[in-house]
Amino acid sequence: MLEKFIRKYYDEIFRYCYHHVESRVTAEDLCQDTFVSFIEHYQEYRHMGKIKNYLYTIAGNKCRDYYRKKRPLFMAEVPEQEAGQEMEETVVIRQMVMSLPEEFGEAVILRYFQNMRYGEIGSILGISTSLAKYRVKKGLELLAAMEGGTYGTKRN
Amino acid sequence: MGQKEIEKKLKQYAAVSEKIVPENRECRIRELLQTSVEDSDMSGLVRIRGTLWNFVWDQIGYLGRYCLLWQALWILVFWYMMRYGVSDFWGRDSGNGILVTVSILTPLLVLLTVEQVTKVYQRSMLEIEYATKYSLRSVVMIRMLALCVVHSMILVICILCLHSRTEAEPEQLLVYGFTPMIVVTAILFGLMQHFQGETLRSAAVGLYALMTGLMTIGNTEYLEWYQPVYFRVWCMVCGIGIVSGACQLVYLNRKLSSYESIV
Repeated sequence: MLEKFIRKYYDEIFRYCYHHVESRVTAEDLCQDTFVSFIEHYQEYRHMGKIKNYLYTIAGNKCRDYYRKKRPLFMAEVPEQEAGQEMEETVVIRQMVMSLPEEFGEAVILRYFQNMRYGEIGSILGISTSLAKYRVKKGLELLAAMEGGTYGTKRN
Repeated sequence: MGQKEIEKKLKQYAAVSEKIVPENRECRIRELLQTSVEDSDMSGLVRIRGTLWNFVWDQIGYLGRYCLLWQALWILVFWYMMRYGVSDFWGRDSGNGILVTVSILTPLLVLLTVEQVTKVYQRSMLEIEYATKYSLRSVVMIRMLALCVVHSMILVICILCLHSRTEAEPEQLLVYGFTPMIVVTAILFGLMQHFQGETLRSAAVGLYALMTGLMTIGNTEYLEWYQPVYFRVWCMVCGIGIVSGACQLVYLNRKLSSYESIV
């Protein structure tokens, strides 16, 4: 059962970490750490929601810890096969998301990159569904402003 | 660039990033499995995540000590009134006195525990409940169902124990006991659709006072509701109470759905 569980969510959690950090290797390490923490602590788990959301919460904390310890240089890693104009644009959008303030960036990543519902986002971030909707909307507004050159604040 | 365009780009990136997989996936998964607990321990996850039965059991647990305390107190008062208090209290025919006392005490059981159900859908609790696997409606309905079953069991057991000590027939005791309780419950279902918290509590206390007054007046020589001739009327009222209680429960269910859509 454990193997099935890990296999089911490993790629998803890896991608979630990857959206937070620029390096694939770092994302792999964070993903591994997430599952190790999960295995160590799942017996203490008393959340009545989805286990997947619990996993995301751990992964989110790991990414935040990583940023607290070390903020890497801003150099997006592009997979080899992902060259060309289209890919360039998508990498730009990723960098824009990463430069959003944390609470909005997180909501946008979960909504659009991880394809989650607002209820699930609320559950993972420990906020209400309506606040999750607000954060996603605000994130989009900021991204639009950033694209138009009217937004200057970068995430620290 | 508009938000639509941004959304489109985000989705494009999400589609591209689907192809990104960890390079040493298999190796890392094996590493995790080697360092992990036994496979059988994982079965705890299923248990912890919660089946329907776990959910029902947890909700009963939430009702917990507070309800148990009030129910125990109620049983004590009931027992005392039946054993010693009836004839002293009413000062007349203790046969009718027992019936009136049963009628007055049973709605009290509902009144004492109503708060444990209604606190779930108060504004402050909505967000917490929303984050759980089951809907607000399910939580309220399960709690009410649990309380109804427990109250009915308490009442039936008390009446069966009481039967040997009185001249009244058990069916009489059951009808005179359940009817006020069912009527009060049906009205409370109606009140729960409009009031919450303190207001609901006050309304429930008012309702109980009214019911007690009615039962007391009904035992006077002018009305004599407890005479055998009115027994069929009691049965009819009980039936009407059940039907209207069921209708109010449906309305309450709809009302709770609208709370969920607000959140």
